[in-house]
Amino acid sequence: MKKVICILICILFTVGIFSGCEKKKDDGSAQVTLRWMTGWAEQKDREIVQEYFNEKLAKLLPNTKVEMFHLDDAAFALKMAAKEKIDITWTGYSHDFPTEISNGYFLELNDLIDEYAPAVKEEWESYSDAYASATVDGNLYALPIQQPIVHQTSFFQIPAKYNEYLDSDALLAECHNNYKTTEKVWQIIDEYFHNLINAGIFDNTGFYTSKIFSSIATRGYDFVESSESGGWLCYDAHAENPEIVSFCTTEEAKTFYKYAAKWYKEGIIPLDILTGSETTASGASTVAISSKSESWYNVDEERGVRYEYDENGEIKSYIYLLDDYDNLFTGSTIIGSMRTYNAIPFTAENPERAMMFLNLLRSNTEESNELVNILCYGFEESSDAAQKYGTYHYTLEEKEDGDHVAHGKGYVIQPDASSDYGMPHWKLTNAFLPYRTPNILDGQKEWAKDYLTNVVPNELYKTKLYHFTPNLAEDYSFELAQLSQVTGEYLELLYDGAMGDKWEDTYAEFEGKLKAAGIENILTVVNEKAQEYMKEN
Amino acid sequence: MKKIKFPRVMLHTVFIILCVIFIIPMFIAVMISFSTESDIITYGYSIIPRNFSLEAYKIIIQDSASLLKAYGITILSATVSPFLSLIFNGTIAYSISRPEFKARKIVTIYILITMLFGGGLIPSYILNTQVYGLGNTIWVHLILGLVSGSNIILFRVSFSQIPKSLIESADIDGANQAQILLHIIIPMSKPIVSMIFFTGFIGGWNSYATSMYYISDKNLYQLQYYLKNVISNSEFIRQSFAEFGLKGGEDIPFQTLKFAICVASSLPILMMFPYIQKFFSKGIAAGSLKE
Amino acid sequence: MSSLKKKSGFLRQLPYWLLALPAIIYLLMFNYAPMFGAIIAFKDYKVRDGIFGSEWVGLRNFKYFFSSVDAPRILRNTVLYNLAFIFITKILVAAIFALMMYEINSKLAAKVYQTSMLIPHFMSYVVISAVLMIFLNPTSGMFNVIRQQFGLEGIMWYSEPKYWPFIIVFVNTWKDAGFASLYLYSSLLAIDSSLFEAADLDGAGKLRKIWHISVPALIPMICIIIINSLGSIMSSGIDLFLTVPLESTALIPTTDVIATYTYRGLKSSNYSYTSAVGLFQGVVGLILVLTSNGIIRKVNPENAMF
Repeated sequence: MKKVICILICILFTVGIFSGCEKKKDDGSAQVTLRWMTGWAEQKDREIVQEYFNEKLAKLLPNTKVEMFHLDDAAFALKMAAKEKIDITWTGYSHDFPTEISNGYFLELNDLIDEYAPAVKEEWESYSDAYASATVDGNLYALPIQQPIVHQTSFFQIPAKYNEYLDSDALLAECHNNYKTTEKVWQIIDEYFHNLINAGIFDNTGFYTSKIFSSIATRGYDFVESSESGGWLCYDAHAENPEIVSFCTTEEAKTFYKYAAKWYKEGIIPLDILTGSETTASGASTVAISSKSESWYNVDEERGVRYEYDENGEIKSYIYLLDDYDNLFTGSTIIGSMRTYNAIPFTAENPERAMMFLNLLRSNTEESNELVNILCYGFEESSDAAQKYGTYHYTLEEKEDGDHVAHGKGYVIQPDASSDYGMPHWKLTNAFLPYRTPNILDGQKEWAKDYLTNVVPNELYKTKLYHFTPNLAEDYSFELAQLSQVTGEYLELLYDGAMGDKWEDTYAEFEGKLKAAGIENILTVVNEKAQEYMKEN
Repeated sequence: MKKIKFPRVMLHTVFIILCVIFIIPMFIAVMISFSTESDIITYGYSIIPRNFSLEAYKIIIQDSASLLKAYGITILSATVSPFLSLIFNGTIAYSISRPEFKARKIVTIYILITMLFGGGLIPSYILNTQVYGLGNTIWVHLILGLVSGSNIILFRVSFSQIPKSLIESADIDGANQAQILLHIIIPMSKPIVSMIFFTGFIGGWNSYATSMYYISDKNLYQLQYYLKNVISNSEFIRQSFAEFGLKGGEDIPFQTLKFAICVASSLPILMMFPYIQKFFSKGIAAGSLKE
Repeated sequence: MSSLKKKSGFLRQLPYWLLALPAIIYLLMFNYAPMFGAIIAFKDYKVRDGIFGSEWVGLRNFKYFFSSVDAPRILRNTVLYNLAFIFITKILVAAIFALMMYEINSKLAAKVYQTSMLIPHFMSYVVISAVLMIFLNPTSGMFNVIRQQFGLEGIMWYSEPKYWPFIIVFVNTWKDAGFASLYLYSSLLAIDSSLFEAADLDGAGKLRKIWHISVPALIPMICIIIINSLGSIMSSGIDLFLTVPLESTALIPTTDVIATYTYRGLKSSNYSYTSAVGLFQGVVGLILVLTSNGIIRKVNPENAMF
């Protein structure tokens, strides 16, 4: 008897295994509810928007509904560990995307895309850089979502009232002629500060050096990992045979440390810089700010300077673009660098239908765009949704040039606690605005589209490590963490100049600790990978 | 007479100075919570708000229905949970406080190990959701954390301070252990019992981790998690403004909101304390022996 | 009398077992059962492979901590701060507060004082750090302003690591001593008042009464506090050491503890590592608890845990 039972069980097992193995193609006939983790914040009115959305969705993708919910990142990690079924998830800058990939949270999407998502495939080909930031070893792990960022280029921004004190021609000339930041650049900026001091109008409120360091001092270097982690590994972008180094110990960095220490002593950098918070800096009032991203809202043709306007149309700050087209480059891909994505977790119950859904959102047809607009912006005032649910989230105003501008309900520039729908209140835009859908808020400028799909892949200088993704997080997460710990402790002291005259001692300590933390090993490893990569490409 | 009064006056003076030190920061926090965010950004934190404003509080009570539900859930779990834990912890504490219990050493070690070692979040989470089925129910608020080694030990210390003669006389009278526990031990341990209840209430009041990990039903959120969401929504909105390069995001209450939330969470507890304080007066323990 | 002795050993033990049973079962279900998961401390835990499918790596997760350049400093900080928190905050200052409170006769005064002592306990560290800034801000902070009135230069509080051990212990005491004193106070409440009456008859003064009656009454509770707290000496919350110093990197040498080291280095949830650290903390805690219990047992047998 026992033997019989054993054999029966074995047969059942085998049958079970094989039937599980058959990948059934999803023909769309089964009723499916997609569980969709849309981010970390609860959206007001989510339920009614979801209900209306599902109604419209049923006409385009039959038998499909979505159920949206939100999770903290910690809660998300836990749910993955407990293998809870989630079909689609948001991921991006508030999650550690590279580690999530190496932990195996997300399915490889290549096959699903081939089978179910032609529109995604097209988008992939057009926006290759964006998709590259979610690709590891040829496997795509998430679909990138449109961010209003076009390209990374450093700028130096000052309030309009201070503009006469800056020798902007010299600054632009020096920067455009040298793709790295030379000492002369800091001298020009130093002169600017001293001109302000001599004129008695210098005010260092809100002045922080961290962005100036990470945007301007690093010009000409391409980073192979996210600069917030590890050892700031980078290489000279225009080098023929690039060697990866740590930015913290380069000449450019040391020059900056010197000037930062000088500015700290002279009172240009605020005394309490170590404890301050950077979010208070504003271009119209802070003596100097900087960053590395350009949004398409105010890009124009000229590569010298852009302007920021106030409500009356007056210029309130000058934004000097330090890289012109010859300096710009496109290089290695930092996983997660495009900041927000949709991914399909490995616990998904209906990955095929999820891919069909994501494909629908990216189809760029009138109906699918309507769906996207509902998700991103809510109900428009004159829509039938607004009629049905008795509330709306925005009104659409058509401008003279045919563009649309969306106004949130009771739209105020500065929404306070009592305004229900200040512009971002109902906004899942960065949860899934695909690249090919027009952004109705300001009309996606054709310039930006062309830039992303044409200029970047075809015209910009490609570094020798173009699309190189070392993905060190996979095997060296602890070593990177050590480096992160050391740079976290010392780097800020140096670029804030907070050590004053003693900065060189601090720097020596820093170098020593980097070595002790194993930076030489990491550099060896990553350079080997780079050499291999260059041989193959 | 003067000799006796002087130390008394000194004592009260010292206490009053201490109270000032303890209260002033909370006072400052309350003042900051009534400021506007833009003032905080421009002028930094200051003791007297330049512009008195309720904007931070307005955000907290914006969705009053959900807020009330969160209060309800929290009050429920913060009262029921400590009460249950009193039962679970008190009983085992009594057993291990009795010298006649031969296994008390082993049981104590059994408890001790749970205080020092644990499986961590993931195994607990998997067990609680998939095996015990506690996910997304009210039970997760009531059941998790019920038995705590340190509370057991506090009870035990308190129980062992009760005079043995009391217990022996009850024994002789034929009382069983449960009766001794209920009628002698617990009444005589009022201060520690109320202290642990109060601590348990505070713990339940401040807890948010269970909501964060186990609950997705909005109606079952605890208060602190709800407030945490209010803050992260504020943060989300500010970031969205920053992303779009718009101005005005910085003025959405964020710093002031943190203060307002701190004030709003602590006041109810501080108001509750005087009721617990009833159990904390001298002369409770003495008395039974004299009978 | 003899009827009591005649009860069989098991039946006599039974009531104790029954009373202890609810907690025993609970601990089994909710504390012991998940312990199997501690095994991820020895594995390279990948969510997709699950707990049992992940690769075995032995002691590699422990290495990250021990081989780090800063390990001695972090261990030193963690241990010293926790010792200070136990002995200064929870015992010394809390006992002083409790003894003082015991002398207060007025119920109203006691209510006011006790409630005030508790207020700091409910302030979150985020708020405390902001309030502390009002005092310690290098430019406009109150302390520096006062120093400048006296012709002294202001101190860069947030850039000088050497002041922070004192500041942190002070903040911890300010926050928790009041609450801790309530436990000690409850021990004082249990003192039989006839002891004091007898002492009065013997002509004992206030201080003698405190030293010979009140303080001994505190000893059991103090022993328990020591044993309890030593068990968690390796763990420390992150807020006091990260938020209160406003994350100023200059202060890291004296404010970095195991929790902040983990937070700064590993940004994402690396469960294997945190599990390894937890295991390490548990082992150290166990050793300390057994040792201190052994010492206390030699000195004062009835106060030992076992």
